[in-house]
Amino acid sequence: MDMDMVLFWVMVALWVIMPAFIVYEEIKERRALAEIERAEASEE
Amino acid sequence: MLAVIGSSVAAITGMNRLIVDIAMYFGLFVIVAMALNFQYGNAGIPNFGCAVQVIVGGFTVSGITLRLAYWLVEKAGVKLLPYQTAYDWLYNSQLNVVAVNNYLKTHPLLGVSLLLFSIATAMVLGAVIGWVISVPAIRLRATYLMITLITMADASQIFGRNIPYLCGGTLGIWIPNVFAWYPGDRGVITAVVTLAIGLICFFIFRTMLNSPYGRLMRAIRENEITCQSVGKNVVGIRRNILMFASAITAIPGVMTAYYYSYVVDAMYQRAYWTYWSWLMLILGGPGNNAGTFLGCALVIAIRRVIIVYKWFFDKILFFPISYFEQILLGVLLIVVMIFRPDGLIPEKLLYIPGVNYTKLVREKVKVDWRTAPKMKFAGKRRFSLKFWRR
Repeated sequence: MDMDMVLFWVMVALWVIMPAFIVYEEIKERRALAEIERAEASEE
Repeated sequence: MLAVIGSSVAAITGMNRLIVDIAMYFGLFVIVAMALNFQYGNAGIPNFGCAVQVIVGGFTVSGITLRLAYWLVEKAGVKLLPYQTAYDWLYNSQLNVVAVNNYLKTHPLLGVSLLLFSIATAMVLGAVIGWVISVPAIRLRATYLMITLITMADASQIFGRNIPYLCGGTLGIWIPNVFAWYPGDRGVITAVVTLAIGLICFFIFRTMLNSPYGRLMRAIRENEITCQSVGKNVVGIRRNILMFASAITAIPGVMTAYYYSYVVDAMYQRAYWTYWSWLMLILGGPGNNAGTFLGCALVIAIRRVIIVYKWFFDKILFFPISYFEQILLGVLLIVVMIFRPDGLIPEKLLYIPGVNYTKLVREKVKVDWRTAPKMKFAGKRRFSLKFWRR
């Protein structure tokens, strides 16, 4: 198999990993922060 | 599985070439944008000298690595044309580089070593430039600092244009292909290496921003005087941030040189490396990595598509196509500044990873920071007054 093809898909995977990880982390953080805000609001 | 996936890519031509090109530029600019986000988004240092740091990377390859490659290849017994005088350095460059490439084809270790040497040297020189930049940065106000840095970027380009030994002057200079041992397309392997470096840089920046040092940076950005009043060395911290970010920003300069196998000062224009990077940051939203990535992806995709499909846009526009890219992105910046001044993804409240906020809230634990020393003895013994007395 041509090495270019393998590297092409490795490149696409690397290209996708970073944004996917950031989106996952961002959603996780925003959910946690929203939960804190909700909890604080209910306490008040 | 890979064979099935691979068979869908015929060759690196046409649309695949465009994808490789976009990926390469995404990798290059995401490093610059992340470093800028580190400096401006988190520490509040308006660095308008990104082009200076990138040009240092380019000049490292053309001025240092190229000479080292010539010297090593000559030592190995390959006959090269003379390159000592400015004239020979410039006009024999192409034939000498061909000879070096032929040697690198059978010596992959040397190619990889030259790449690593270039990156390491560029990072050291980038850090030195960061220190030089930090000298006025400490003394000047933001506005004057910006003017100084823009001037420095222009000055570095003028140096490159007028000193042939540095990067071949106005004609530029050829660079050996450090991936000559790779049998396939050079663009793909360079893009893979650049994206891998971008991924490593992302995790370095992420770790630093989530560390106490990252929180200190944000504190300095928010209120410098308060930080000084509690004994923090604000000047030293700013200098460290500039040096570190400058070292990282020099890497795209190196990778650009290897991507084109050519270095000329015009490749490192300040409009390109400074203003586009700032546009990415402002568009996405400073202070968070998600915004930086989104801004970078949008700007790079728009730019590369406009460049590649110029022939199509030329038919439907009433003004010269060469202005379209600048006009479109300028309008984009104005629209974002009017309707979304905080960027597409605004900065959120600080979230410290490792602290389980959900559990903290559910258990209604009241955190008393005065008891923080307890953490040191967690699981061993209770921290008590008795302990102190002993």
